[in-house]
Amino acid sequence: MKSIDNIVSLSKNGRVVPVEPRADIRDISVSENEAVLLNILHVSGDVHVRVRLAGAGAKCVLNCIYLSNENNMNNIVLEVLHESKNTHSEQKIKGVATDGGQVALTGVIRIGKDAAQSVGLQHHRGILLSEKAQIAATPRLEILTDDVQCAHGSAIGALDERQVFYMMSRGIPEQTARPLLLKAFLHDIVPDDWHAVIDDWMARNV
Amino acid sequence: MSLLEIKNVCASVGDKEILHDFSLTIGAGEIHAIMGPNGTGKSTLSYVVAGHPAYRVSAGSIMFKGKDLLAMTPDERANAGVFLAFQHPIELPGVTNALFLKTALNAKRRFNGEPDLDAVQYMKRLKARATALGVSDDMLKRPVNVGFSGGEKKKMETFQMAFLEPDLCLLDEMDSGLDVDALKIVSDAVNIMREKHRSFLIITHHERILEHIVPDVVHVMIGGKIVASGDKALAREIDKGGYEKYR
Repeated sequence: MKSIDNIVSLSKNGRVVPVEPRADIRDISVSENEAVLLNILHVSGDVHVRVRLAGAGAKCVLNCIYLSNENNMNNIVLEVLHESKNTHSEQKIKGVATDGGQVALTGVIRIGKDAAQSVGLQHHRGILLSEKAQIAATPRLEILTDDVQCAHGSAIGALDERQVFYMMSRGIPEQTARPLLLKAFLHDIVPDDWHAVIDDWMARNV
Repeated sequence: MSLLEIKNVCASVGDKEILHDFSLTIGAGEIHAIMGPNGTGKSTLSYVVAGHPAYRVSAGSIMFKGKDLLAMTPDERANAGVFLAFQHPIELPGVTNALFLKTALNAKRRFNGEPDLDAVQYMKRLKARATALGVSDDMLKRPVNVGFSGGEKKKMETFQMAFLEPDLCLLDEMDSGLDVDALKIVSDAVNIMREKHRSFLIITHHERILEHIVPDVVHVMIGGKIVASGDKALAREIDKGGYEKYR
């Protein structure tokens, strides 16, 4: 069976920066008033990303999707380090685990002592598609200064059966409804040209 | 032949039996209203007919167009012509109304052995219906029910109903939370849909919606069964006197 590789895309101030998965993205430094968008599609292995908001006014949006099935262990560590004042970060993490898929996610927001008036946000939602699948999410907030905004939320659960019934009540068979809901759940935070990769994974695993 | 024939149905959710020996027959083209106080089993009835998996039918039968409805899955029931307009429509983040309705319409066409509509045919049909019911392009592009007001959600339920052209429309407290203008929009859509082959079951607390959609038969439901039936005068009587005399 063809397997999907992890995909990463990085842009700075709206311009695409070529990255090698595994190498370049380990450490990303964002300078004064620079804005970074990092997208990750993670299907297997270890990934450890550290974004340093080094200059004042630096911004980072980090979107991460994980897909986990029987064959894979997904180890994901995402760190955002606020090192200067008035820096902003937003992490959106979503994923699904099916069969015996295992996901370990650690999300770190560290706001250093020189990073007053910074905003750090992290949202995670994971969907378990089998009783054997496991998602363990560990958010870590380290806040060393006052006058910051920080929020994180993590929710792990099954697909919402009310949504499945609503779709079925409109004539959509269950085997169409479930993948449609999952694709919709994942598509919105990654680039459009990744959708086919996600759909392909769904077709083979859900 | 009756469109819907519910005979002596007992239904429960969890360990709690909610419908007790419930019977109701709706002929083609008829509009029936069921009125009753809270917790009397009105919404359960609509879920049982639509096939919600949480509701278990332990006795009785439900026939729809002469077929055993209880043997069918919820999507099969919908494609056979049953439509439930939800009291609390469900949000589907990331699924646009346009995609949702296309998937539903093509599911129905496949069920009936017809080919899928292509994108052009579908958009033409969608736009025509949307214009007729005052649904904007913007609403069609938005995810199903996400960020819609209570009134907009009910309007979109009605739009889905008009678009999918069911034969039996179950309206579960369509009027709850609607202001007068929204109620009129929803009622007008129902009245436009009235046809000889299409029947409606309107579940409500209030007589108000029945001033806009005039029913052929009004039933009073208490304690999981129908305790009185009559014409629209019965609805007015309940509006004035309440349910006390039927308890």
